Amino acid sequence: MSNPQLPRLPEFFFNWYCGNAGVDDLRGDMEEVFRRNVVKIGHRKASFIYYRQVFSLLFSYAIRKRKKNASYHHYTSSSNPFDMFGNYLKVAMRNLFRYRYFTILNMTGLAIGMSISLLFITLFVSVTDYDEFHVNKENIYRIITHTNTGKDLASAPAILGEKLKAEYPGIKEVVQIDRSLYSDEPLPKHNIPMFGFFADPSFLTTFTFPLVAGDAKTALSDPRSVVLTEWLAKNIFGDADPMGKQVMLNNGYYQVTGIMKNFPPNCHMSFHAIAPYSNIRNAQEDVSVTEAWTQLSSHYVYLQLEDGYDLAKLQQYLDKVAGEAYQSNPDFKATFQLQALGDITPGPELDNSIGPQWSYLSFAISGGLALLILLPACFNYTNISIARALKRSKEIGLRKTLGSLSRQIFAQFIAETVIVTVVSLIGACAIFFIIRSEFQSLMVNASALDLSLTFGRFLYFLLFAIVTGFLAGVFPALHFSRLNPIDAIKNSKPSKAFSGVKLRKALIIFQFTLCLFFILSLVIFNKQYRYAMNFDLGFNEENLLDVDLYQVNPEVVTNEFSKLPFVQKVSMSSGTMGHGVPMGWTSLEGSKDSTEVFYMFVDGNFIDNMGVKLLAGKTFDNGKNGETSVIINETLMKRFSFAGPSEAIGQVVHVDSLSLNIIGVIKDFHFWQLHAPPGNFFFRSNPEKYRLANIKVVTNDVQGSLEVMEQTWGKISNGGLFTARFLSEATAMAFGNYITLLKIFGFLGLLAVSISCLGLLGMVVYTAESKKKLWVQAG
Amino acid sequence: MKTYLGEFEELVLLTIATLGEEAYGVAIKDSIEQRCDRSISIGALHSTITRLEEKKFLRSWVGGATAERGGRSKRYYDITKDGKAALSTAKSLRDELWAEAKINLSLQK
Repeated sequence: MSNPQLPRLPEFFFNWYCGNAGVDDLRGDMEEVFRRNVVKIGHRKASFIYYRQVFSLLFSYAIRKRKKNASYHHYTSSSNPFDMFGNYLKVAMRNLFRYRYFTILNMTGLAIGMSISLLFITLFVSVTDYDEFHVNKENIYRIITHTNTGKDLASAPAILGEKLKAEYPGIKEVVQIDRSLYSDEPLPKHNIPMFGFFADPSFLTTFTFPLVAGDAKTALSDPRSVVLTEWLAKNIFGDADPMGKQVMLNNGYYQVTGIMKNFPPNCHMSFHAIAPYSNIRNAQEDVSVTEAWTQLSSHYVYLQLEDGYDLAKLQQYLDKVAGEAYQSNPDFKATFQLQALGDITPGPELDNSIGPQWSYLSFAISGGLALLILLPACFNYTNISIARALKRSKEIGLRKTLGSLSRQIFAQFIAETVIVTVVSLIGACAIFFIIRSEFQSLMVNASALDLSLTFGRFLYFLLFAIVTGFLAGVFPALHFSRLNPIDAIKNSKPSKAFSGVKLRKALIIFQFTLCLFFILSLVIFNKQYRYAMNFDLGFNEENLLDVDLYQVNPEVVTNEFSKLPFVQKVSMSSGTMGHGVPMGWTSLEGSKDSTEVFYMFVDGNFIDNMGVKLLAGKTFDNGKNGETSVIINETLMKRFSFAGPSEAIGQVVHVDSLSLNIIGVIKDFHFWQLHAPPGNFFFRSNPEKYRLANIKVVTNDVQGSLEVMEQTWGKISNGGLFTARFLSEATAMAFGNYITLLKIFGFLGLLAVSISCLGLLGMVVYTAESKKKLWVQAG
Repeated sequence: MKTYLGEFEELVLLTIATLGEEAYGVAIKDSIEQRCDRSISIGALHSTITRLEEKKFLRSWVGGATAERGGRSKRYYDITKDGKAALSTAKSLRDELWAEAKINLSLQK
């Protein structure tokens, strides 16, 4: 009992809290009471009272006052932190003005670095408010499909929608959407790519797509009705009133019964027209049930539910349905999942998406790239600041001697950095405005985004600038706040001041590695691009002009164009050479083994016109009617195990229930992408399938001859649209992805390199400055 | 000098006066608790003492340590001249009020 133990925790805490304030007498008082109490009322109660005493003292004015008296400086524990903040700002501004050169260097670097991040932030913000305009957005769900082949699809089988409609009670609306609405032939005289949906009439009431003409409730009640967007209506009918007019779509004529206001770009669907779903519902009834469950390509099921709907129960039902539906199908399994409208964009990466898609993955990548540019800029700041420690160490030493605490020095440096980043934000915004439009023209998806700068977005920018400031400033701030005042003032051998050398080296290495990475990828892309452009494709793409035929008779085209003096040769084809071709199946006569084969319909002039080499046999006879023959390539010849070209000629192959004679063998050429090995291929000949006229033009006056051809075209097509492009141009367009990548990487590389160079410049200037004194002294 | 003296402050000042040479934290607390029959928290007491010191009514010095305090020193308090003046102002105000009371404040009939 002579020496009872004080409760350790409160004692320790009390000590820590009071710090260097003189509270010896208070602790004495408490201990005295405690010892007395231990004797009187026992250890436990005494401890309880001790706790209470510590607690009451902690919040007492006595402690506050003593702490204040004990501090170095009367501002230290000031109840008004803004006094100190104002001081930080003042000192920071002075320092920034004093070292103008470094300030400008830092700000330029940070402005460049932040600009890309601003773009990313805008992108992110604008994508997160996708689909916000739907009034029923809380209650709209989509059914997505996961297959056993590892695919995640945005689509779902049509039969599932029908089943839900028929069997499952309590769903407000089931909206079936099919993406297969398109205009097969371009609308007369208007070459507008048009696509849309077959959708249930409830589409217009479930989603918020307001009509400017027509009634949303009845617009789609007639099977042959169609609702167009304002944009499409204007393009087809001009200023005339489109209501009640007829438009030709893939399976017949439809009457316009509604005009939809152009919907905002931040919509996960994209379409130009809506026709009633009933048009294709009948077609689906021919399909067997097992097959119907595997048809996942272009169909979507959307649900509108009541408020507070039991989603778990519906999901259970979907699981059950999936289990039953695929039971009899050994090869194919799939599960269905409900996806809320708000989770679609941004959302998981799904195939078969119904419109522009922004997945988490693409965000991660673009965010990563933005960070790769931002970080070097921050590192520059860190580097230069730490390197200048020597210069500033006196100032810090003095401040510390005068009573600054570590955290005040820390706050001082953070404040300085934040000022720098906030000012850099102005420059970053300027760069942001310049690159924004360029970015939108590069990225297909981005053109559907609203990247304008609103007040709310600017607040995000500001927040971002402050966070960046903290990021860039935290290392120097920590470094400086730890300086020993005596060392700092003496400034003799700044052992501490240079403790950042390793860190700085690491940062510089990182920066230049990044630069190298960007430069290297640039070089590689560039080489790849040149390779692609100069590669021998196996055919000659020079001077070839592809003209869209539309409905004009190919024979007339051939005749009329051949008359022109600068036209060497005219041929017909079903597609553009080298840009992807359709695929089918073929088998040799007498064999059941069918082979995948790519094909193209061409006329007799095509092979010669393209400069494809004919190894044996002859080309198609233009005079003949009907499809009778094919010309195969070497790879297919080998696939059919013919010893040589001459052996193949005269053999018969089966294609689409036709029996065709092999009349020639050609050398392999690249009809597909470069990196793919040449596949099985043959040319077929059927005038009905021709879509393009390939015109070989030899002229020095390209523009003039184009004009002449346009006139000729006007005569033979009764004023139809003349669309022509050079094959080499088209090839370049097909490699457009490379150019986009090249541009993006080029730009990012340029930014990274300039940031790193700015950093290096700062270091060099600093070193020169500090060495100058030495040289002067030595001299 | 117009400084308001609170009830508890007056009580603390007078208690310190009654304790004389032995006026330190625990002693003051014990004395008040005994006389007033109420429990006071050590935090409240020291806050009041601190304020009185701020008003220059008290002065203090560090004195001898004893074993029962874990070898920690005591802080002794003494009333200053200002303190005495404040006390006497308070007292004279009360005396005056007592004297001028229109009803009989005496509890004895």
